[in-house]
Amino acid sequence: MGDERITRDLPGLGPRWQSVRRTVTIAGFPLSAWAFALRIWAAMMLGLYAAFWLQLESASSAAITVGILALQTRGQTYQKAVYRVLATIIGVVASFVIAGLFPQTRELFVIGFAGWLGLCVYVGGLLDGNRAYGAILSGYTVAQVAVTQIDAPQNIFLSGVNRGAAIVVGIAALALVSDVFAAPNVYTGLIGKLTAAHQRVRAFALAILRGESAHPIQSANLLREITALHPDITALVAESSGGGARVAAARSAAVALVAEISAASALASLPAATSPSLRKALGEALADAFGEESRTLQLRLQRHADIGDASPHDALFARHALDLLIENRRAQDAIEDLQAGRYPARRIQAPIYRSRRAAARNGLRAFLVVLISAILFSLGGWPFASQGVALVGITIALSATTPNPSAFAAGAVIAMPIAALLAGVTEFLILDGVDQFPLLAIGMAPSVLAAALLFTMPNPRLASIAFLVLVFFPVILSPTNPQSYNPETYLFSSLMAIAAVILLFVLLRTVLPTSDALRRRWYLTSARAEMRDLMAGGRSRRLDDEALFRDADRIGQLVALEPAADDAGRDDLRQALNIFGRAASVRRVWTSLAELSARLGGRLVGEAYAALAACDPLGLRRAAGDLASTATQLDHDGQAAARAAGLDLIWAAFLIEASPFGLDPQRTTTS
Amino acid sequence: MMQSFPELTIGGVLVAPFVIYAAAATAIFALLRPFLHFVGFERAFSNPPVAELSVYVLILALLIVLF
Repeated sequence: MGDERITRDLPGLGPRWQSVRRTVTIAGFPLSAWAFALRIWAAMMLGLYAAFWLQLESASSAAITVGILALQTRGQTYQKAVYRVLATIIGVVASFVIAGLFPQTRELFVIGFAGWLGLCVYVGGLLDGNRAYGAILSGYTVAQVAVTQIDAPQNIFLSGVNRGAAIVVGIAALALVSDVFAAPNVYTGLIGKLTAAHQRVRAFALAILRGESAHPIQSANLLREITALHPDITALVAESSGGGARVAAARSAAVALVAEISAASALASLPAATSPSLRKALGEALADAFGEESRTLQLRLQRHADIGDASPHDALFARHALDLLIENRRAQDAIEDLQAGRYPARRIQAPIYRSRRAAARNGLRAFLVVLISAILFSLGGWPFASQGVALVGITIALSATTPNPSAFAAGAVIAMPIAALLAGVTEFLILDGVDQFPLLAIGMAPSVLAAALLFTMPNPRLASIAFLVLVFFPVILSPTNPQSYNPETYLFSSLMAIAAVILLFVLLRTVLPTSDALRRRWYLTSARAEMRDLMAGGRSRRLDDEALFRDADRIGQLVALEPAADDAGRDDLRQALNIFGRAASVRRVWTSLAELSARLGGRLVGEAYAALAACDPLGLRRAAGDLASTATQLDHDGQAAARAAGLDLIWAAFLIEASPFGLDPQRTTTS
Repeated sequence: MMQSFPELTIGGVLVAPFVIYAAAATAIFALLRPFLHFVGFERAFSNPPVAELSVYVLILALLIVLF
């Protein structure tokens, strides 16, 4: 079934054709890269032609839209397109409001624009993927619609409508080309990534069962690999009529994989000599790829939990082994659901973590950079100064959605002169006064194809530069009907664009730069603060596994940072993983105590709540002992619930005692 | 008989009838999606995106002919 579905990704063509697409190369690029580049060029030309035919004023926006939406899969393209339309509408409305609030006062207008952009960058900082892009686009649409019309605010409405129309034309062209020429689907790639991640998680668990210690970088990289799939998962919904089911299945798989890593790490925390026979059986069940052995062991472990165990370590091992098996099965089932396009058994969210401080700092920086650049450009007294301010606004907003804004700005400093040069060569050497559309299409082909081909390269730096060239080449060339071929306009707009990115490069390094050390401190501080809240009983409305996924996302971001110079062993990761494990155990205690409390009407659990809030391992163990002795008077289900809660209390106490970083609020607030 | 097209005016700006048809077809198609998933529409075609695009064009054409 799986193979059959994957085959359908390319109509009428089997997996053999897919491997041919990847292995046969022309000029060093695989056929799939050429297909992508030709799709982008075809869509750009179709969009331009339609915009010329409809006599839209800003026809070049259609070509720029195709450049911006040049993503390799249909789902991502459609999702970005939807956000582009919505964000443009919001941005155009914001342009009216800002222009209406500050008529005849340019200074206040620029401050209003900078404030709005800062706010949008802040909101974008709390989101990921194409959603973040949508947020910042709402901000920089004002730059394109209102700031460039600062001297003629009466044109803002017309400019907004023209831009919106050209964007819709560009989107329609790209959607048509992607559909007809069978652009790859997100879900086929995602199935491969999830399956690979699942194999690695299983190998990680098997290594732990063999007694190998889990290196923090290994665990953190696994968590990062899974949480980094989040933007792809959200893009599934736009892809097909089965997108809703697929997104639910992919989310369920990703959350189950994170929970599986958490269960494996819990097993790693227990002494290596615990339950040798169970350890061996669990290893065999995992390696057996979900045959009968796994089911038999699951039943055995469930019976184990019902009866109880004399040794707490053995009981804890059995409990986490059962979790591992359940999550392993869930992940496998969800991946199969994703392949089949059906809803999974468990519907769950996959929330992401974003640092509010980092987002606020980015927003403030965008605000300041726009203000400073506006002052500098107006002091310069150059023509096209408003275009320069708008470009700084656009590029700072775009940089805010990248993991490393300074690297983005450095890439832009390289990309902008290349785009300007290519636009100049195309306009004045290749086209040189022609006015036929086919010649324009042929003239633009080399630059567009080269940029799109380089965009498919695995090197992120090169891909980022190629993306910027793909977007800014039509911006500077600015195809119109008829083309003006005005060297002065070209010279000024290119110089302004290059000056804008150089200014951005300098300002990003001087105005509120966010170092990795600062980010690391924020991430760890937020993890500790949330841990303290959790201990004190401040639980979120999220399910335990959802909260676990969010914590995993934070670790994924932490591992992506450059390690500190004096921290070769990645103590930061060790600490974050430690909090990750303890938070999972405390959430579990709250859940099992809540279940028990509901069953017993609030009796027996008061002492456990107090011990947890006081972070007292002795108190937790005492509460677990009391629960065990009182549970004998309960019915069978009550006894099982009390036993589970008791084990969770012992597990929390065990982790608090074993933690080298401490947990008491006095220590953690000072760090 | 000449067919008259509905005209939409927003704040004095005349919106082309085609835009209204295209938007209405998009809305109807979005509502149809759960049904298409339910009947296994994707499994019936070797290239589901083109089949879905064709459904969209059919809805658009129907709207233009009927209203």
